[in-house]
Amino acid sequence: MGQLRDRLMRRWTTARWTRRLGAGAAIALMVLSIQPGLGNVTHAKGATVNLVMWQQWGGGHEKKTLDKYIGLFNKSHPGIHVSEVAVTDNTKIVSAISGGKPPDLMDLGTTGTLGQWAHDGLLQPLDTYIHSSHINMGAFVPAGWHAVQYNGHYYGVPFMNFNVGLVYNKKLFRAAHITHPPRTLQELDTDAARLTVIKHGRIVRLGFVPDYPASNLEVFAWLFGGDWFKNNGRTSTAALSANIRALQWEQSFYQKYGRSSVKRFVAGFGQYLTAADGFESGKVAMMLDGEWNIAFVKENVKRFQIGAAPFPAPAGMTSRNGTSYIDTNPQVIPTGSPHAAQAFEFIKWETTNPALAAEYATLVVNLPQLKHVPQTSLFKDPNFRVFENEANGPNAHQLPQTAISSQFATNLGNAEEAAILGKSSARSALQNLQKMTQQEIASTH
Amino acid sequence: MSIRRRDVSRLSVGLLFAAPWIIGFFAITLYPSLASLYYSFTSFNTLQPPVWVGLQNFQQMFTSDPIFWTSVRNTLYFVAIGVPSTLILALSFALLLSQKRRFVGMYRALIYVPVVVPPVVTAIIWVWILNPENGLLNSGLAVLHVPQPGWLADPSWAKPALLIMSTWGFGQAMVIMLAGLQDVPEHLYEAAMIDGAGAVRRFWHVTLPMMSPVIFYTLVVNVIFSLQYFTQAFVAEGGGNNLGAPLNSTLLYSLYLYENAFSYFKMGYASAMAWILFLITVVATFLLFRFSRRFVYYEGGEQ
Repeated sequence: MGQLRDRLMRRWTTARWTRRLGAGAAIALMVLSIQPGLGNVTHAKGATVNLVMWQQWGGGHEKKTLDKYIGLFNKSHPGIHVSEVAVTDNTKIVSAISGGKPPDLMDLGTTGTLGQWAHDGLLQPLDTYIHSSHINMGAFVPAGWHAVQYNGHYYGVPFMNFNVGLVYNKKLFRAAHITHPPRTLQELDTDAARLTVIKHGRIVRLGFVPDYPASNLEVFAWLFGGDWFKNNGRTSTAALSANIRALQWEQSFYQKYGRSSVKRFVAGFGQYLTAADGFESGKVAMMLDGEWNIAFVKENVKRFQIGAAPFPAPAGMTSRNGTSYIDTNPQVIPTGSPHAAQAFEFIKWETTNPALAAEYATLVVNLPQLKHVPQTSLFKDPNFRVFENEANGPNAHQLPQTAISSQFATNLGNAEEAAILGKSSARSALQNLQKMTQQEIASTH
Repeated sequence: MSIRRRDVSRLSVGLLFAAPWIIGFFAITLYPSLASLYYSFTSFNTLQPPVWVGLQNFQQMFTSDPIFWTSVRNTLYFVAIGVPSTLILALSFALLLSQKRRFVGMYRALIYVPVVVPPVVTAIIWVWILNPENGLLNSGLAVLHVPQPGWLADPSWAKPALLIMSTWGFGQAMVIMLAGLQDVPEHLYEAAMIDGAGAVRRFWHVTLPMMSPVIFYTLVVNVIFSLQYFTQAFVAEGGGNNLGAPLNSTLLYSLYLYENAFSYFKMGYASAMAWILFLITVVATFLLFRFSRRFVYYEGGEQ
C-alpha cells in the first residue's frame, strides 16, 4: 500500500498539476487526442509487482520472441510480472512521461532520440543501478555502451545491437548475369544500371535507390571519409567536402533515372519489411540496410534468396569497405517510472544472459550485445557473418548523442531530400545543415 | 438594494446548473490558454520547470527560423487557394441541389457524406487514391493519356494534393449555403423576372446579395479552419514520422507547431507559435469583417 500512496502523492503534487495543465495549453488549438498512458494500470496485487514495458519490436516473429523471454522471466521471478505493449509513437511516449504516467520501462528500438530525451529529462540515468547491481560492463560490446551514453551518463542498457550492410536479391543478380556483389562503389553503380528495368519509359525495377528504405546519408558520408560532428557533438562538420561528395553521389542516381520517376516508383512500394516492400517484392535489387532483413525475408517471402556483403567504398578507398553505423535497442527507464528498481532487475536479467542473447539474436537476426555467447546456427550463416565482421571492424561508426539528436535527424533528411530533388546543390544543402545544426547546438547550452 | 433570499437561492441553483460549463471553461479553456501565454515567454520542455526568456521565442521565430516562414507560406497558400475553391464548389452545388428535382435529397446526402466520415479515415483513403504509382486517380489519368503527377511524393504537387483532400469536404459549407438559398424571398425573383432578368442576372442581383451574409459566414469559418488545418495533413505524411514531407512542402503552421512541441519538446516556442497563430486569426477575421461592410447585405439591417 505504501507504494500506492506514494504514487498518489506524486500524482497530486501541485507543481505537477500546474505543469501538466500548462502543457495542455500549448495544444489547445490542435485536434489531438492523447490516450491515457498504460503505465498506470499497475495494481498492487498481493506481493506481485506488475511491470509494463513499452517496446518497438516489429513483425510477428519479433514480438513472439520478446513474449517468449518475458514469459521465462515471469516464471522465474514470482514477485514481478512483466507485460509488454507495442508503442511506436514517440509523441505518445513523450506525453505519457511528461504527463506523469510513464510505463515502468521501455525498449526504444534505436538510440536515435536518446540524447535529446536524456537532455530533456525524459529518461533516468542508470549509472547507479548499473553499478549497484554489479553488471559486468566489460562483457558487452563497447559500441553498445557508447550508443546509450549522453553527457557522461548511461541512459540505457544495450540489448540486441544492429548495423547495416549491402543486402541484395541473389535471383535478380543471377538473371542480370552478375556473379558477385560489387567491390567498389563504381561497380555498384554499373551493377545497379544492369539490374534496372525500364519499360515504355516507366521504371519497373531499380538496381539501387540511395535513400531506400531510409535515409543513409550519414553512412555514405563515412564511406567517403567524412563525418558529422567533432568535439563530442559540440561542433557540426556537415559541410565537409567528403560529405558533399557522398551527397553528390546520391544525386547522381536521381539525375540518371529521373527525380520524379524514382520518387513515384518508390511511393508505390508497400510497407517496409512486408512482402510488398521495395526489396522483398523485387522492385529494388540492392539496399543498404540491416541484418534483420534476413529474418524478415524468411518470414515473408518463400524462396527469396538474400545475399549480404560489405557495402563497397569508392575505388581506391577499399579500407572503407563495409562502412556502417552500429546501434542498439536501448532498454531504458523513463522518468517517473512507478517501479524503477524492479524494471532494472528485468533489464539486467534480459541483457546479461549470454544464452538468451544468442537465442534472441538468432530468432530476430540481430547482433548479440554481449561479446561471448554460445555459437548458434546463426553464427555460421555467411550473410550474418558479414554484419558481425563489420560490427567488429574499424568502420563501425556512431553519431554522438547530443541534445539535438532528433532535430538533427529531421534536418539531415531535409538536406538530403533538397539535394536529390534538385532544389539545392549538395554543397549548399550541407552548408545550410551545418549552420542550422551549429545554431541549435548553441541554443542548448 | 439588497438581494433577497429567494434570489440568492435562485442564483445558487443557476450557478449549480451552469457549473459544468463554468468549471470546464476555467479549468480547461481559460487556464491553459493563459498558461500557454506565460510559456510563450519561457523555455520549457514539459519536464523541467520553465525558464523565463522574455521575447526570445518570438525573436527566433521572426529572425532566425526559416522553417517557420516556410510553414507560414504553406498555410497562406492553403487558405488563399483552398477557401475560395471550397466556397465556389459549395455555392455551385448548393444552387444545383436547391432545384426541385427527383432524388435531390439523395444527392445532397451523398455530397454531405465526406463530412460525416472521420478525417483520419478520409486522409488514409486519399493517400491511397493519390498514390502516384498505383493509385486510383493516376490510373484514371493514365487511361486518358494525361500526365500523372507524383502528388504527395512530389514537392510541387503535394500542396495541390492536400487541397484536393481538404476541398473534398465542402459538403459542410454546401449545407449552410443550401439553407441560405431557402431563405431568399421568392418575391424578389418574381419581381426580377417581371423586369426581364434572366437566370444569370437573377443570380448576380438577387441570389448573391441575399446570400452574402451566409457566404460571409462560411468564408470566416473556413479561413479560421484552414489556418488551423491539421488532421489530414498529419495523417497524409505518415502520422508524424515525416511531417511536412516532401521537403516541407506540406508543413502547415499547425504541423510545425506540433513538431516543435512534441518532437523537439520546445513547448515555449510552440506556445509562442500558437499565440502568433491566434493573432493572425484575429487579424484576418477583423479584416474580413471590415471588408465585409462593403459587400455583405443584411436584410432589415442598416444600409
